[in-house]
Amino acid sequence: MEKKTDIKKILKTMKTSPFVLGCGMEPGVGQGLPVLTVRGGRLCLMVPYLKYKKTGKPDATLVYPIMYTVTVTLPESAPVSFEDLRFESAFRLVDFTKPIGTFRHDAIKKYTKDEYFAMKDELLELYGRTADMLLYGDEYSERDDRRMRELLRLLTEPSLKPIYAVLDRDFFEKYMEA
Amino acid sequence: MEKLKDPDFFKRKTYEGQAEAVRPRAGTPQERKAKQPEVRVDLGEPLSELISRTSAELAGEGQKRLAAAVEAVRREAGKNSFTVAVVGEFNSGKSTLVNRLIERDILPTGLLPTTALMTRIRYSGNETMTIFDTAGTRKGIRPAERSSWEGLTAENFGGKDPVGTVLVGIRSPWLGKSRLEIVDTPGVGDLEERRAKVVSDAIFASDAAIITTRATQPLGLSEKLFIEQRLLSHRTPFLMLAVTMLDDVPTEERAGVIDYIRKKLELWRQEDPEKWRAQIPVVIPYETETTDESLKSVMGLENIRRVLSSWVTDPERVRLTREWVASRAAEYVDLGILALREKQALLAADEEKRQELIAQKEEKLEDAARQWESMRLEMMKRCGDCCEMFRKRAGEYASTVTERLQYEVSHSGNPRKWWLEDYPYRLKVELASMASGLENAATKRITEDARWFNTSMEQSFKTHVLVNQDTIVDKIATPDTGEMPELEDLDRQRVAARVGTTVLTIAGYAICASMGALPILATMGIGTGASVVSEKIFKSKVEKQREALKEALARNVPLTIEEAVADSEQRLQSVYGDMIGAARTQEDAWMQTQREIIRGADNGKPGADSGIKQQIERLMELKSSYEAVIS
Repeated sequence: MEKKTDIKKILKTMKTSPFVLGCGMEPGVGQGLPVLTVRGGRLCLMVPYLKYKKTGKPDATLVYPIMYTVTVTLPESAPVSFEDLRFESAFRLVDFTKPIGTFRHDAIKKYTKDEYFAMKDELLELYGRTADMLLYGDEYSERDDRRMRELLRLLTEPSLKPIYAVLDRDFFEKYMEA
Repeated sequence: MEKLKDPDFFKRKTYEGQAEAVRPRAGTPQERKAKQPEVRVDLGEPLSELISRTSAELAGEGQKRLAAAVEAVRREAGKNSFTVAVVGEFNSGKSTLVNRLIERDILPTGLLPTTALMTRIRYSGNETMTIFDTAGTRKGIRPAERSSWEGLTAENFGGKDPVGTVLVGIRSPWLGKSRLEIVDTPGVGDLEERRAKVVSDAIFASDAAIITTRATQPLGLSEKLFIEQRLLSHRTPFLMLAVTMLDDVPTEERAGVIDYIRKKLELWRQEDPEKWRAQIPVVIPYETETTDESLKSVMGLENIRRVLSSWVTDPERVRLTREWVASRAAEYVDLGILALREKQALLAADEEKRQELIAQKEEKLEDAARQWESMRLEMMKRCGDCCEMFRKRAGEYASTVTERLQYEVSHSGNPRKWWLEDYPYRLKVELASMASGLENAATKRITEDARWFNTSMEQSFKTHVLVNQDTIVDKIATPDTGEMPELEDLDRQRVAARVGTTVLTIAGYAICASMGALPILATMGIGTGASVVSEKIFKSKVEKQREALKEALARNVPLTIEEAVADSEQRLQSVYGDMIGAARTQEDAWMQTQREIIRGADNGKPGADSGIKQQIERLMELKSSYEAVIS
């Protein structure tokens, strides 16, 4: 089947997009798992940015809270908004300077690096399929829906889930909540 | 621009799932009412008569607000339901507990403060969520499900706190059978005053309360104050303490935590048996492994449900409810007496003097209102300073502890053994000692601030509110006549200086907190961080091992301390928030009463004070009758 919305490619392009570079994010932040969201009746992709700090030990990379989000429209990937969560009242109790978890978390430690990246690729494919179904009415099955939920629950760092819940309650409840 | 094929796709949990439609209610309103079980408490003829006389007396004296408040007490006590408020600090597991109790995943939960509104849950044939504003106007009806909270929780209000009530109806036979209403409150100890008042009002009108406390930081000073000032002093008939998050404590230490909590409650009871009249049962809501088999009897949600249902039919409920009603009504009578005395003083003066006093009083009330605000802001600033001091001290301890442990490891003959066997124990010892130091420093600071708050309020109270120079407060403060104050005087002082005593009490507790009333750190939950060091290190030479461990200590000790003190700041804010919140509630009532006095005195005729004396006597009689019910 033709892949119309390529989320992996969009995420890659965003890394060097003038809009994202112009946001002045702190150095060292990277993209987290994105969120599909509906804004003003349009399908959008919200990309969280957070810091990971290597400790030199396997499975002990420190994970910090999501600090920023950049939202773009789908399929055009036109910028919609940039949010610095440190200035959002909903996150006033979050200490952004303090790690909240470690990568990799327990649930994914049993997988090899290749297996992990294969699952992440599969997940991003599913994001694309969901987008194609919503944008063009393309084929989509209950199995796709279920698999996306399974992968998101597995791959999302548990300590980040409360933040995802605030970023987009619908997406969190549909895909991440146990 | 692509149009979305299914804009509500993300609102449905499964691809093919649909939201359940709201079902029409079965039967006529009369039929439904006839089916309702009767759980009302009979207040008894004498108490009902007493309340009627009180409200008539107060209304006759022009104190309509107080008369209405007394009637409201009767109405709340006579309702055909049993209200249980679930109270506790932020993130102490209140909403999770309510969700589990009602077996629905309805209330939002999480690490961020979520519940900003008062949520009342009761039985209903229709599973709906009705939203009311503060005036009681219905603002909307939604299906009773998690997604209906969108736009209602604090996080969705863009910094503005929503205020109002959400009434959730669910088809839960357990709730229906005993006509239980469960109230999920916003977290206590918040510096936001409106929320504090919302919690306070809800508890005031509840038959029972479940206090949630985290197993990792059980029963701090703020919780003690909350229980004493909001629950015990209002004679809330039934109380229960639910220990949440016990799973976060190592299995072998869980029984110790419960034992610690029970002992602490018992200690508080011994310190003030008059206030801590009844034993508060300790329950563990969720099944968990422990080394003490006897704890199984207080474990599980079914146990809590059973206790709550038993309270509704408890033979003691009638007596406790009568005491609760009498205590609340007596408070309003107190305010009525005070108002009349003020009015009496104003009317006793000649016309010119009276008008002068009224003008003076009005002006000073304005001043007092302004001063309250500045005192509140100053207290919040002091709270910030205290937290900063706390952070700084914790940072200093982190450096000292790190250096001390680094010294030890650098002199250890077997670094591996030291790391695996000694370090966890040594870290715990160091952190316990740090906790004690931090607790002392914080207690000292809180005591100083509470004293300042108390003195400022007393001064403001005397300067701005009581215009009679020869106040009872002054009399008692300067007993140079050698005479003992009259009972009447003491009563007047008690009411007049209630704002002050609230804080004095707090200051007193802060001073006495050396018994561990302010557990800044619960050492039971402190992690050791030992697992971070790789085994590979121990294959190198001893000197290298020492160096690697020193580095690991430099990384892990500050991190462990940071984790351990993370919640403390919120606890400190709770203590300050409670002081401000309690004072604010009293200040509101006081201000309103004072305004009624001014209005009454302004309309009165000079010399009309003789009738007031009789009114005061009648209220004093009513008060004695309430005290007889309470005792």
